[in-house]
Amino acid sequence: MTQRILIVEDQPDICKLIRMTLEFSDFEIHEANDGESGLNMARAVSPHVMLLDVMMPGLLDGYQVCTRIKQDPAMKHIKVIMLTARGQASDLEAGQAAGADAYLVKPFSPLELIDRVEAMAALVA
Amino acid sequence: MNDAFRMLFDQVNSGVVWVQRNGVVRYANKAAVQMTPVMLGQAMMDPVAERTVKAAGQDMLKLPFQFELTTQEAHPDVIRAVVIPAPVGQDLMVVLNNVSQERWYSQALENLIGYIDAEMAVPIETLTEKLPQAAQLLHSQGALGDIQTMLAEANALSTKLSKLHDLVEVFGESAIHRDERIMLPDLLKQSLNEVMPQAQARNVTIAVTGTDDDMPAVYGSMHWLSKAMSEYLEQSVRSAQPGGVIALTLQASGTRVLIRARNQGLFVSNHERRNAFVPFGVGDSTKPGDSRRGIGLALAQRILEQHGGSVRIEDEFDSVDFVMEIPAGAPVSQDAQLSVEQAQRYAHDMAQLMARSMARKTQGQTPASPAAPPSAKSPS
Repeated sequence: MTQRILIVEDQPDICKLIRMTLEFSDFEIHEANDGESGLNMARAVSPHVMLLDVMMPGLLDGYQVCTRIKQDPAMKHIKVIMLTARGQASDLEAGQAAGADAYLVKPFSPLELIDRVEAMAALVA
Repeated sequence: MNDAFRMLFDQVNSGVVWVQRNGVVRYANKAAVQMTPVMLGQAMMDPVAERTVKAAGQDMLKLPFQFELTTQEAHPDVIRAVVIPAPVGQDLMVVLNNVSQERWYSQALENLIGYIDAEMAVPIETLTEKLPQAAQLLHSQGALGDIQTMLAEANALSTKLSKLHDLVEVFGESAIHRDERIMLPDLLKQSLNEVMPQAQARNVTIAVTGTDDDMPAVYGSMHWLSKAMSEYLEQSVRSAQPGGVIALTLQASGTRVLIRARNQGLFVSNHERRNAFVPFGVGDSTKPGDSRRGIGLALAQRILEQHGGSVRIEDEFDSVDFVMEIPAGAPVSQDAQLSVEQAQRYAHDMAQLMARSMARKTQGQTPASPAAPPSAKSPS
């Protein structure tokens, strides 16, 4: 079964690089560019893994999207990997408090990214 | 030229010279005489002005025609002059404005900002650091009224100078660090605590709604947004009628967060509204001897502008709203440097990604074709 990955990232260049990295494996990839559309898309496509940027413009940032996903019985199975340029301990704690399953600090290694996504997806499948 | 025109031109700050088409001056107001030498019945004495007016009179120039003069001084000012048709008849008018004077004011302001930033920042910080030590000394040696008064005065001075320095700093070149995650309800509560003594002194009640957990986060400088919020609340309290109620609401609207302080039964004149946004222009009490208690909304406005937001005053039928608006979420910006670094990481790992893909292909899996990295923007 092809696993669904949802990328929620407001910077088009970074989003494209993530997609290109994931295209080295066999995923069904979806994209959203802000928190609200990311949350709506998560409800619609029920991804196995969600790559979620922390800092996004709009009413929901990454932490808030993650919190809502983990509080929703219909979506809490989704594995969430937070992506952020902020790698301080307080940021990691905020990610954990929101229920994130993993945390990658930008710029991240594409190899590490794909390994993490495959491992997470295997857990859900 | 009739008396009505003469009276009108005598009231304006710009220099006005009314000339016949042959270049002979018929009238010059006081401002014009201060900028360039003119005598009635003769051509303008400045050679550039004389030539330009004569050329205009001979229809050699398309009006309005702008040119520059300099004053006849050791350090000449630059005068921006415009030749236009006179309002009646076939005559011409030369309108003069002293550009150097305008520049002087902006330069003076820049100088003030530079001076305060360079000369006052360190003494203020030093004083602020030493005040707690003075307080400890006071306790150990017994309370002395004079020292207590001095301490209170020093505290007041420190507060005022700090606000002044804040204003200079946000109007200066220093960029506001903009990626701290801030929950506005927390920020509002913190600022309310600061402004509460002022509200109690005026017997003003602040009723707060909308501080629930679902409010979006904002990103910016906690340090500066906290100052902006305090200044904004101080101004709202200062403007409220004694014994009045301020309805303070926090609301997400579209992609922005609005903080609205509504003062019922209040009227703000255009003069007060304008002054609220001019540094040092507000805070004067109606009672002589009372001190200024703030620097108005100039600080808050500047800080909010640097966060992509705004501060404004809105009138309703029976109330005045002080509105603070902040973009929800992170600022919309492309981090070019991060894109470049991420593209470099991709390029670095691409060989291994391809090798991994090929290995899987030989094992019967189906990897997709790799693509070229996107052209990341250069750091600006």
